[in-house]
Amino acid sequence: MNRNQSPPSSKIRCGYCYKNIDRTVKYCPSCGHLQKLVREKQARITFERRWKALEGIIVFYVILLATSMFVLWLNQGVRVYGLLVASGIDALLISGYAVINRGMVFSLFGFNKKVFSYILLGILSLFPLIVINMLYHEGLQKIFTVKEVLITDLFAKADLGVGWVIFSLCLMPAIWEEIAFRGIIQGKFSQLMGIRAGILYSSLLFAIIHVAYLSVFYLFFLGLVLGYLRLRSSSLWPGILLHFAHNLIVVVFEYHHISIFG
Amino acid sequence: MNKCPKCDSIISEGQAFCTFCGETFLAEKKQELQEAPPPPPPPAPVTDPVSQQSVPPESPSPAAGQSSAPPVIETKQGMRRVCPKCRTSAPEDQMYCTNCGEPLKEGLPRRNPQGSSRASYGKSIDKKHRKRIKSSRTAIAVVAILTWISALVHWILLKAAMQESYIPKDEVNQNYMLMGVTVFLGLVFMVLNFWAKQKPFAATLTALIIYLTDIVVLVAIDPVSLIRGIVVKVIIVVILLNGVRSSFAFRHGLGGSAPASR
Repeated sequence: MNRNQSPPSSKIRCGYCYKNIDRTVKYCPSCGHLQKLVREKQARITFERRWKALEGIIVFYVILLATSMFVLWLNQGVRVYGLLVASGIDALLISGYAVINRGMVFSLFGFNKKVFSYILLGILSLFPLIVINMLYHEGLQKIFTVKEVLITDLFAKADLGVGWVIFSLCLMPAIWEEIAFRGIIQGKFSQLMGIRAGILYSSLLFAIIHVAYLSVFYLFFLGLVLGYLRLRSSSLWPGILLHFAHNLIVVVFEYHHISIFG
Repeated sequence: MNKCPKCDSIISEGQAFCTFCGETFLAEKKQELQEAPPPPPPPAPVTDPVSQQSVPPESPSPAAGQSSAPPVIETKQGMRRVCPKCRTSAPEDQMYCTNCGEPLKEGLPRRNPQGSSRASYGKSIDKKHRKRIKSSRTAIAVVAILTWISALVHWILLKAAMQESYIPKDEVNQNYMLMGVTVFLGLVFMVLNFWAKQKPFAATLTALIIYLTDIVVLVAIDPVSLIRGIVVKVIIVVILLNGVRSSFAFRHGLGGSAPASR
């Protein structure tokens, strides 16, 4: 509360009666409570509240993963309609979780000067990101000699046009993943464990929820970049635009079979 | 130059109290204090001092306790009292001794329970948390070894199948890749097991998240795998969850000192 805002001084507040007391005393001179015990009790209450929040994040993550996995399993592998249904269910779940934490999410959609400068930074970082992406994935394909499943081909087989591809592979993930991972999960982890842990854990969850085990390291890196943008601009717009543009370029390259090694 | 007879610290002429230990130098006052020994502490059935009803210090109720006030003594620093229990001097208007929590005025309740029950309670909590963190470390190691064993079994089964019948090279390669991912996952768990020594919270939380993801993804690949060894899975998840909780409690200063230096 007020303790966090006040500059460090020789005076602190009694944890029980909130009167100003000397920092060095063991017992409050006005109410006589042992400060150690009072602080311990306060710490226990804070701990229980934060533990509930942490459990909430873990449960939310597992439900998100389980529903998308279940829909994919129903479709026996990656099929386009399953993908669409899965992204719709994810959007519903995430918007429900966002409504529960609406205070945290709505404050991230504001616009100011800082946001525009970070949108510019995001667009500038697009080029190195795409180069790293292509080098990483093509290198892995060379090493492991695996054939990549092209999702755009699946869309073409299902007779769905470019509009559907852009909607379900670029727009939906960009918006909902940003709200879920950068908006809520990073915010909550930052509150619970600090800013650095917030970025690291949201990136970890972002990387492993894609269930693409070869791209885990690239996705972790992408998560770090997006988390950094969200942290510095305290807005979701730079992340959403970068994520959308990144996915769009990857899809376009895939569509036209553009690659570095040929 | 005068010296305090109790603690041998140097004091100036005309000082009524020692500034270091609170010893009284006025002989008659000292005698007076010794003649009126502090009354026996009232029975304190309340074990948690914070949950007690607070008595406003401005209007102490006379029925709340039987503590008698120590006499007011005039000194160079103004009117002061000496705590009857620990002999620390305090200004006249102070309600409680800041060193031992003893009431300094008539009719104030004693706030803090005496005795060592509190300390031993803290110690037992500390022991419980340490035990849980230790067993979660063991659980992470067990998961790592189980993962490696499953990769080994997979390899043996693949070799046996290849001897019996021809398997296309693509499929073999895919199996090898899956094995590689499994071995890598075991390696990650082993690293987390060692990391849990330095940072128990971060390591156990990461292990829990990765283990839950692993379970859900395996279920999506093969739904029967959920039932296979479900008891072991539940036990491991519960142990990991308890480990995360205990190490999170250490981060909040609960249950004694943190198990590892941070």
